[in-house]
Amino acid sequence: MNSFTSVFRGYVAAFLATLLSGLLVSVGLTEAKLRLHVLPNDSFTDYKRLFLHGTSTVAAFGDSHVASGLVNQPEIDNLGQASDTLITALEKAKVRAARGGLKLIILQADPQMFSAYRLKANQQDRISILSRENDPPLAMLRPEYRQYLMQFWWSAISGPLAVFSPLHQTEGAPEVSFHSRPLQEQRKEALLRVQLHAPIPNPQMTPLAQRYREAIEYFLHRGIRVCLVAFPVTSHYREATAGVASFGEAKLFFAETAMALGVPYLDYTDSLPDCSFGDSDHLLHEAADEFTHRVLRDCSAGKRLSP
Amino acid sequence: MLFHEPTFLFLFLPLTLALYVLARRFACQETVVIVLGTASLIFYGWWNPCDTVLIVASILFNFLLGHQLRTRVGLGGGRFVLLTGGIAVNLLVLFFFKYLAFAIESINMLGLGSFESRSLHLPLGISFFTFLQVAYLVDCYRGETKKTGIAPYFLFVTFFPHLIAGPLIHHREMIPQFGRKSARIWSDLSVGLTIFGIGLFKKLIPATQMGRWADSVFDGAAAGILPTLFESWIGVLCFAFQIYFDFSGYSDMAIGLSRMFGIRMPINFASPYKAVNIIEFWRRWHMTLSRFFRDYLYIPIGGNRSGSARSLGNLLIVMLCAGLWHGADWKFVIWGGLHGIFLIFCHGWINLRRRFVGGTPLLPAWLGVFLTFIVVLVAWVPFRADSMATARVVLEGMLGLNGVTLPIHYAALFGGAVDWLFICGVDFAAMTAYAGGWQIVWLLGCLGFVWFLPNTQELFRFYRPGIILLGQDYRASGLPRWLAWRPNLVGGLVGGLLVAYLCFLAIQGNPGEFIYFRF
Repeated sequence: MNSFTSVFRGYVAAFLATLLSGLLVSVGLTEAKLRLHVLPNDSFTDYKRLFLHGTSTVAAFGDSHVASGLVNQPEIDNLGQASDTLITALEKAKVRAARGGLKLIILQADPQMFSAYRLKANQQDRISILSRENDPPLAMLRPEYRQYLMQFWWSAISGPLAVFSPLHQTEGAPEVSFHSRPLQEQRKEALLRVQLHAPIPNPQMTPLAQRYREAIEYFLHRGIRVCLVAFPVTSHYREATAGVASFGEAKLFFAETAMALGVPYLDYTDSLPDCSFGDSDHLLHEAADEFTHRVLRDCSAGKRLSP
Repeated sequence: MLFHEPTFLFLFLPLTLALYVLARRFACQETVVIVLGTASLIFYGWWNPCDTVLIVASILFNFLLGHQLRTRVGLGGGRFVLLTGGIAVNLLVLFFFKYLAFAIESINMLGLGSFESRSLHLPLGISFFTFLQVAYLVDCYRGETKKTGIAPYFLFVTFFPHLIAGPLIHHREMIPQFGRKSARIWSDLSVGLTIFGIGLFKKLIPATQMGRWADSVFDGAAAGILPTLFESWIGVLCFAFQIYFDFSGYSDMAIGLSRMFGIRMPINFASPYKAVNIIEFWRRWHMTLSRFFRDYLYIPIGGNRSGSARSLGNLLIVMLCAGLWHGADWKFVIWGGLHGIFLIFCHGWINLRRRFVGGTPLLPAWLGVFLTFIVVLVAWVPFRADSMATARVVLEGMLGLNGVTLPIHYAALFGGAVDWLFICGVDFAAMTAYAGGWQIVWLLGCLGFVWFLPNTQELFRFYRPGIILLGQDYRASGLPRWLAWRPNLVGGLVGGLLVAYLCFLAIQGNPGEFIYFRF
């Protein structure tokens, strides 16, 4: 073999060896991270159980505002999930309604459901994941983890030894209030959130608005009451939305829909002080507990709060 | 099964490579060709097995017709009828699948009728395999082909690295390569793996990131959110980089994959945003398509042989056809038309300059690069927008007609100047398409990449990465020797690690298909 060939042969050998070992180490560490740290504390299994087998007569659907704003209790199954689009939330509600036993559906009525990034999000597999019977052999290939694979990978690769050490329990540690952060930081975070959440203009004209109305009619037709809820946000978030007309248009759409279909519309946007929030638009657990009782009480009473 | 998908990376490619190495080691070259042809057909059928019927029928038809054209020299005018008929059949099939619905919609739109249109399933790569076979037929007629067997011809059409999105290869440069065994398997593997890795990087990292940001502007505009001045420019810039890295990445992957199997593909992409004028841009962007249109449309319709006015008209026709080749939509025709107009202006400018100041350039090269980049950006707007209404909104935004907005939190940075900016029409409000300072860093990084870094073939110039086209001779690159790629142990280790990272990223999924995949 001449030196020309041996140089290339060495290069290919080194390339393939590091490629394969890099992949093996990455797969091994990421899988270990998921199995040792993520799966034992993962709420997804609980969520899936609740979705498939929950028996409460009230169920709530929506994105992280719902997921963090309400607390599971015997009388309510909180089926809100972070980043769920309105279509996903409506489809989940339909699947849950088809199982029977539901008397009241709490549907999110927040403007960000009409934001551009939500409208174009492709979540076709979100419901199929929930009804999947068999999981892939590797946890990292489960769709719910696979979409965040690089984050798990980075977390595992940046502290490989920590992957195999016991996880520090954070349960019981006090949550940090948004209010306790510097004022400038609060304002900036709220502004960035509002930029992301800004609905498209004239949301009431979109096909999604029509689907929302039709879904409510569908539930009412099946004898299930519906309650539309706009979740609380901080004062900084509200200030930032004041300059964006489409927030007002979206709220008006929800209010008019509720009026037209004769269902309650509860707008809690400014109902809680900033100290109740973990960030610009998500409630702390303690506040969520109280808020859940309030929503249940108001929805059950068919109370109507004007926007 | 795209090149950056796990099925391809972890199943198809290793298996095909292993079979190729075994066939190459223990069997004759004909067997190697059959192995690669079979693998390519499986690759093509993976999306829709029914499509294989069409491609196989097309191959058989064109192969037999090519044989007739080549052998029946004494047929006289009959050969021309055969050629015309063959081209017509190819173009009719393409028209039926790709343009029929568009034609019907256009007739309805012009009020010339009211026909029902139904979009048909578009067989993958139909534009590519139709055009390369039309070129084959024409060359058979001209007597510029050599006798070839069905297996090399089949592989020439179906060879999986080029099948779905080019390069638009030519039989003269490919079929002879299938007949000889490459003696340098290790150098082919080294160069091929590394170039493939570079392409994978371009597709999975910058193209994907830029695509997300471009989508937020164009999809927002389509949904009714008027993009303001900075949002519009950010959106168009992001798309310009998305299509650059997407297509350049695909071309690198195709060239790299092909090289792993000992086959050299034509270079298809040579730093197009470094072009000093639009003529040069088309010698650097999708070079194999430019070559096809030059050889099989521009020259046959007269080229520059009938005076300058006629040649500029021919150029416009070619560019309109090139636009239509990209998709059955008026927006692509407009894109092609814009480029045609730019080319006409550029030729006019060069003629004027020659007449009055000789060959001396009137503009510094950097200004030429900048101006070319700007006009290319403008033309990308209709190309990317999903309708002409969206394109208009984005173009208006680029002119500042939708207002000038800065992110709300930037107001604090300007301090006392805020009031003055407000008087000048600058507003501080929510910018849905703005992704923070990190986005600016990305854009500057991409600009630096496309303007200042050497391209893949320049990096690999000592190892003949591809076939030189349109005068873009990478061997003449001024790249210092120490910067050019050379195989060594450290390079192999680093390259392997980076590709491992990219493969892991590929498992995560969702980078989307290649833009040219749709054509």
